[in-house]
Amino acid sequence: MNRLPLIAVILWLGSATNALAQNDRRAYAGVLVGVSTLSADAASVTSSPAVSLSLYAPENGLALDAFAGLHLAPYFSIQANYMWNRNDLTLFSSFGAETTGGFYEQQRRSAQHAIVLDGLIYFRDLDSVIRPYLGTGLAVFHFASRAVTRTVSGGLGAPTRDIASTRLALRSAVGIDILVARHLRLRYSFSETISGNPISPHLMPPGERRLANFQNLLGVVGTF
Amino acid sequence: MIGAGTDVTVPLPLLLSFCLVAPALPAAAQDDGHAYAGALFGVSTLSADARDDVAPRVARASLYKPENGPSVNAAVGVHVHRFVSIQANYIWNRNRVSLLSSIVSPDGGGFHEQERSTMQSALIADMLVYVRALDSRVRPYFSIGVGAVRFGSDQPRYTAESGVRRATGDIGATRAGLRVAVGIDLAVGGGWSVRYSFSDTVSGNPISEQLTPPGQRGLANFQSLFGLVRRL
Repeated sequence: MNRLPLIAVILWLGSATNALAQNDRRAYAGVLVGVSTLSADAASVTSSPAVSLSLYAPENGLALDAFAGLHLAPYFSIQANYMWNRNDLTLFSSFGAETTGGFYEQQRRSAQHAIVLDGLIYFRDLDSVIRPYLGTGLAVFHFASRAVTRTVSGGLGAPTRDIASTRLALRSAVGIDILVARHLRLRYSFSETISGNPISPHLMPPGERRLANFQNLLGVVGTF
Repeated sequence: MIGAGTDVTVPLPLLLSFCLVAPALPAAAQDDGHAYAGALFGVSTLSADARDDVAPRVARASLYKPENGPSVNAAVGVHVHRFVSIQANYIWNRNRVSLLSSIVSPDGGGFHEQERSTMQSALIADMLVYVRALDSRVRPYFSIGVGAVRFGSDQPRYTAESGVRRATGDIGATRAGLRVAVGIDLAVGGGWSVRYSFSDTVSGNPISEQLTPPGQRGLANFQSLFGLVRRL
């Protein structure tokens, strides 16, 4: 089921690249790999003598970006991406009052799949060896955390259900393309994808911050 | 403070940054306006931190939550090459921070909560690499720099506690900082440029040390700044 977005991207790009591949090699495709860093969240409520505190702490994880695009103008390109990342999470909630209290700590695995449509604005034209760019785009992503790897509970029940959600997101990126061969460029990209947070509602008290997914990616781009 | 008995107060880092760049300014100013100075204003966002420490029957957890605050960046620099500049910055920002430390067990719990005003002032030396030449109207850049960051917070504005005691004195620390930034200069004529800059300054975290259990993350100070730069 999670492969559907990838198939849709390939079909969309397949039809576009055929038409433009004949036109000055303006179509391109590439693969980037790197590190995904999810934002954390925490919440607290105090009402003396009671306190509730919750947080989740994500670990850095592997990220992948497979993409294809078209150079529509010397300084402008459009690009479709399939992106995937995996991160371990630790959820913690606690409640304490004068004579009662409880807590849990739960470790989980999580993964995100996203389809992103980007517009890229370059600061140097198509023939330049070094081409920095800014990118922004809209994404649809699916977040899922099904595997619980460890739970420690002391009087407060930990989540037992899967955490899964499909959301819209906004992605902004900066990057640079460096020509290393006639039709091959090295690409570095740093991006931030902001969306609603599917993890925070499962905390008690629930967190309030949006989810940011920071990705440091490095890879290659070929023109066709 | 300049001299005893005067009312004029100048932050020490600002004085130091002028001392650093002043010797280069007269020479550079005679050389096609390669020296420049500017001021930027904007918003500072400090990173948060949280931690839990779980034992079989007891859990300790803590967090601090910063609010966005105003930020100022005064900069002077020299274009040493068509694509490279060096720059000295005095950067100031102010943020409110809430700190909470707690302990819970099935038999009960307690907490200590503080709200504080904090200020940071930094002196940073940057190298800027532009991706378009000096005479371009649109000049994106990225930069990296190092310097000293002074963090200070007076007595808490608000304190609440139940069963957990924590120190409530001043917090002060001076740390080394690494600053990375991206930005863009847009020439608007007469030697003036509009500058937008987004930076991240990473340093040791004097706030996390106040928590129980203590946080473990470094302090990141994200600044979105907008202002004017003029060639001298």
